[in-house]
Amino acid sequence: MIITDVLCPFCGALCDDIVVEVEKNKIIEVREACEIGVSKMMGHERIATPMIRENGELKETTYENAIDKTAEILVNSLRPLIYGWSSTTCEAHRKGIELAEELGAVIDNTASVCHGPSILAIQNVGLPSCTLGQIKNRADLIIYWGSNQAEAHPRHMSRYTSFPRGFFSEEGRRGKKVVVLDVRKTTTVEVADDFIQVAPGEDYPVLSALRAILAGEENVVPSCVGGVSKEKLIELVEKMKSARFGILFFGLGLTHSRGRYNNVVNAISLVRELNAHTKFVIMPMRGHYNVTGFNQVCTWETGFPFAVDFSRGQPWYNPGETSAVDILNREECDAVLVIASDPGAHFPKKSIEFMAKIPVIQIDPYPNPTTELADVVIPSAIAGIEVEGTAYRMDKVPIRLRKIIEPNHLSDEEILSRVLNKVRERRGE
Amino acid sequence: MRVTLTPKKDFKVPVEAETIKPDNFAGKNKSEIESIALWHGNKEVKLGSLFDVKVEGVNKEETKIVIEGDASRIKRIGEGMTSGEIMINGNVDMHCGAMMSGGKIIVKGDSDAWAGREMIGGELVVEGNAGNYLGAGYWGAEKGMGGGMIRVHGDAGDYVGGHMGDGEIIVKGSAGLLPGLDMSGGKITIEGNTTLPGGEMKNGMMVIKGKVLEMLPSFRFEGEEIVDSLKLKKFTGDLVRRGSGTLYVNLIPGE
Repeated sequence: MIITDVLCPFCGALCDDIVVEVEKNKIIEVREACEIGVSKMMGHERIATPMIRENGELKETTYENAIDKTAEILVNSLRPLIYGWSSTTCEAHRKGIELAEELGAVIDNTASVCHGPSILAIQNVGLPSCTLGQIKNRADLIIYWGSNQAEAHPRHMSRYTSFPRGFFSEEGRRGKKVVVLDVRKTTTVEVADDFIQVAPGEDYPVLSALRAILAGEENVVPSCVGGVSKEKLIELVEKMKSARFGILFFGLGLTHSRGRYNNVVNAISLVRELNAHTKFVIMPMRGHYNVTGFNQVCTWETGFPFAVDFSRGQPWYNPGETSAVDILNREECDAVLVIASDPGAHFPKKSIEFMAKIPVIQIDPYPNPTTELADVVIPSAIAGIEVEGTAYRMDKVPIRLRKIIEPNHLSDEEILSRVLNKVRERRGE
Repeated sequence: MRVTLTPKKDFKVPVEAETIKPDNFAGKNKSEIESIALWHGNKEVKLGSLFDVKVEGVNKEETKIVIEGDASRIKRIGEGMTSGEIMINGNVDMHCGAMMSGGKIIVKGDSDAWAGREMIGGELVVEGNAGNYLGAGYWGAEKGMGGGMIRVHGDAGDYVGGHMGDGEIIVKGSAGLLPGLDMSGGKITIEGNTTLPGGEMKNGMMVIKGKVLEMLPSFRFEGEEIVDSLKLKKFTGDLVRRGSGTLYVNLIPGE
């Protein structure tokens, strides 16, 4: 059976034109997707059954036992942390936030180690943005700053930015200028018209210099800022001012270099000021396919996008205080539930050392380094392959994930729902 | 009245203690103080379950709270206080003296992040080092510190006085990245070194008596002036937003 218009549950570009061939409830071929997408959708080793660690070894058990053990750990915790979320559906997010509120837990998603700084910046200065469709049809100047999307979002340029012919961009690639700013010559640079190499950690001063030039104060700008010559900076400002429709995409090169969210504040302010001259927009290159979705759901449920602390009943939000890495590094929490992410592979050593000392529960379709730290492991069905639901693309457009094959495991939403019921049962006792 | 609180144990899970302030202790006896509510993780607990309480004197006007021992996991001490005095004989956790409008807090050790956040009056003294966001504003807040005085005897972290509108901060040691960010009034003095001072500065004054390790490219040099009997270079900015903040600097990069 051939299924068309399938969504790829990998990156924030959320490509929705994938063709999948299914035989006997098994995916045998994936077309149109990028290499990473194909590999994700074809699948790999799964966690077969629920497991509970006994005397240092993970032992197979039933869903019921694993869920009961999870509820027991969470109910007895004084400061539980619930983390992950970016590779599952918005329906599961909603259930997770309900669980966090019930427990008085801290709930955080992977944004706190990727585009969290972007969200903080948006709270300060707003976000002049648009959808990817607008960019495809209108943009004639595309800037990627600190983002190597040729490798991280491989189809971004061919679907939305540099290459497609759009309603007002009939010439396609020939009618567009692509500029890359980064600390090194990335793969993306190979298909760009211009590359500006910024010294590591110097994004903030470079952005300030661009804004000063734009404000007509170029005489105060020194001859070289952050490794970039003043001439080059003036040339870039002119290029931006003379664009018909410009877009600045930024990645972790901006959000996690020195200055962090302030780099993003500076970049957004630059874009806002460019609108006195032409149409200019800005967009974060969100990573996981539904990292944006968690921030959307969390905002409409709690008023805050991530790192929400329910310990006092009402939500309190303060990244740096209520964000996962900070809580783990300060050894504050006494239990962690990890879902749809892999902190075991991505968190700092100090955080992982502490996770090894406290009870860890993992809900995930796949075994990964977090499994090695987990005391309870609950396998789930793969969202977007075995479970349908909603995901938000990087431009905050919600798209429906499709179910392609029948699952052998419970969905994240169902597992969380059962955990929540068990927690309430134990509370009622 | 002098109330001494001694933590009964080392906390890992932080305690939220905005109820520990002279306004709330004034005129109360020992058992009343012991029954004041605090949050420990997701449980509401009584102060007496976490601290030994000693009360001396009964003078209602002069309430002084002394915390003996480690308060490095006790957040929000003195948050919103209007009068009296708090002395912390050790380190203190986040938000100490946040939104205070009067009285005095002395921290003998180090303070964690957000000390004096959005304070509008009173005095906060940190005899050790201060963490990030000293006297800054909460996320999206239009203004950080709006009045009062903060003195740090050691070093301070990043973003000292972020979004500051008024008041004064003096750091005797060095400060981290981007002090005076989006500042619109008040005065910050850093006696040691710092990096990229005055980003997005609209107004107010900053004096860097040590060395600026890196200068923003968007400030105009105006000449030299004598400030606090030191000959300093005067800059105006941040010109990215036509700001008219004044930045006095002793040594610039390369000097």
